[in-house]
Amino acid sequence: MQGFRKRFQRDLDKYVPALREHYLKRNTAMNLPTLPKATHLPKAEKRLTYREQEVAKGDLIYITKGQGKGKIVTVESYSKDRDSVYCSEVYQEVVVPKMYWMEGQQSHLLRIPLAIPRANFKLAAKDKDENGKTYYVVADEVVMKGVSYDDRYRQWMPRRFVKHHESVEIPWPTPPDVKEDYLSTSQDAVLEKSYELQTIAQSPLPKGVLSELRNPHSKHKKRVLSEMEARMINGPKMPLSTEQKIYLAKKAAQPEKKLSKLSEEVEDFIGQKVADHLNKITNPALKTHLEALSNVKVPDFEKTIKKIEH
Amino acid sequence: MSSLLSAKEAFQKLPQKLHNFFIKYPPRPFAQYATEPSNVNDAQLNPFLPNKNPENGRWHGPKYSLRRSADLYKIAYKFGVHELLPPMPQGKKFFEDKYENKNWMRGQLRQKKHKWERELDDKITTRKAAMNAMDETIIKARPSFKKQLEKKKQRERSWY
Repeated sequence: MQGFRKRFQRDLDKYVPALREHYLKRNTAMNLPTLPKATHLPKAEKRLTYREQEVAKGDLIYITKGQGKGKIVTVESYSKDRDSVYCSEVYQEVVVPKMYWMEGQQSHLLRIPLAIPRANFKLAAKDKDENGKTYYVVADEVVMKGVSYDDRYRQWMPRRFVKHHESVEIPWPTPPDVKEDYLSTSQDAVLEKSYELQTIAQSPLPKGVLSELRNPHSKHKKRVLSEMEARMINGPKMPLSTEQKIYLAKKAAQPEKKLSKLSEEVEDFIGQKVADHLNKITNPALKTHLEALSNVKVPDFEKTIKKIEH
Repeated sequence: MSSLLSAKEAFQKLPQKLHNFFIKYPPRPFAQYATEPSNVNDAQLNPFLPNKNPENGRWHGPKYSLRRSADLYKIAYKFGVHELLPPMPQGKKFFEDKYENKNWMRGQLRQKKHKWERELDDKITTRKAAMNAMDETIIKARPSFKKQLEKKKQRERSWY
């Protein structure tokens, strides 16, 4: 089983398939030759939900290839890492040296279940016809349509149908019972609220506790600065340098720039130019445009006029 | 057809933006403006150009940016008073003027050449002018050369 990837561990997902195969082969070179070959399924190809997996533990499958071909068997488990199923009918007998025997092992021969890849099986279902005779349905392909709440799984499960025969629904198998042990939480205890998220909206402390713990008459809470503190915060005024003083004196000595209104002569001159130009214009659209332009108010112009008046 | 506008009526139509500008920088024939960057104390400084402060050697940016100067020109053009504005910075041209002075197919009709090649003609003419005016230049640096020159003239032979 793959857990968290360590920092310097190889990420097989990033390898090209050929390189990945080479690495796996080299990595398992010292394994017993009888053990099944190591495989790697990229993370993107993993089927993690029931909707993607299409089969679950307890389903019937029809094996189409390899060992057990033509048999209808029950799925013992589904492997997410290999995207394949295991069942008790498809296995390999491996010779195991005595040092590797498991507890209770009696023989050198050990049955190892073989993974049945997705390509080698089809989902099957059992039903009874009108006469009470059992028959099997094998779905070449499965489609998921809609969801219904399944109390056995305690979740919303997609509904499985045989593709192109969508009146035929294949119900999900009954999942194995979860046995409770000493570590499991009882169903009632699960709903019990034992932790509440603290928010800034509500103080975790009871009312009035803070003023008991802290000094309400602290000088830091008065918000009044002593003269010394004010001096320290504001800092002294820096004296002007000689250059600054010279500059300021020069500035003060210079006469202030005064704006004045345009003289009548200038106004007439400009006006004559504008009149000559505007009187030539016949296009009404252009006239409207110029009218709009001359009506535009400019705040800076108002400021200038104010300066002149003062 | 509506009656013709008089000068006074027409002046009332002048946009405030231009009026404001003319108050600060009077129109051209009443005031002169430099065509090139000058110094801050210059009475003829061009507000569209950067000007140098001779006291501390720092440059003051133009009073009116390229964008604002172009904006003023375009409005003035619409009212026929674009010639009254100070000269545009960097010889900026607008409308027909700009179109007619475009360097079409730049670099394809005429090669750019090296910088020295481009400047060669000017360089030769200035050099020739300098050579012709060499006597005056030397006199400016060394007034005693004047005497030498007169002597030389006296000594000069002629065929008659």
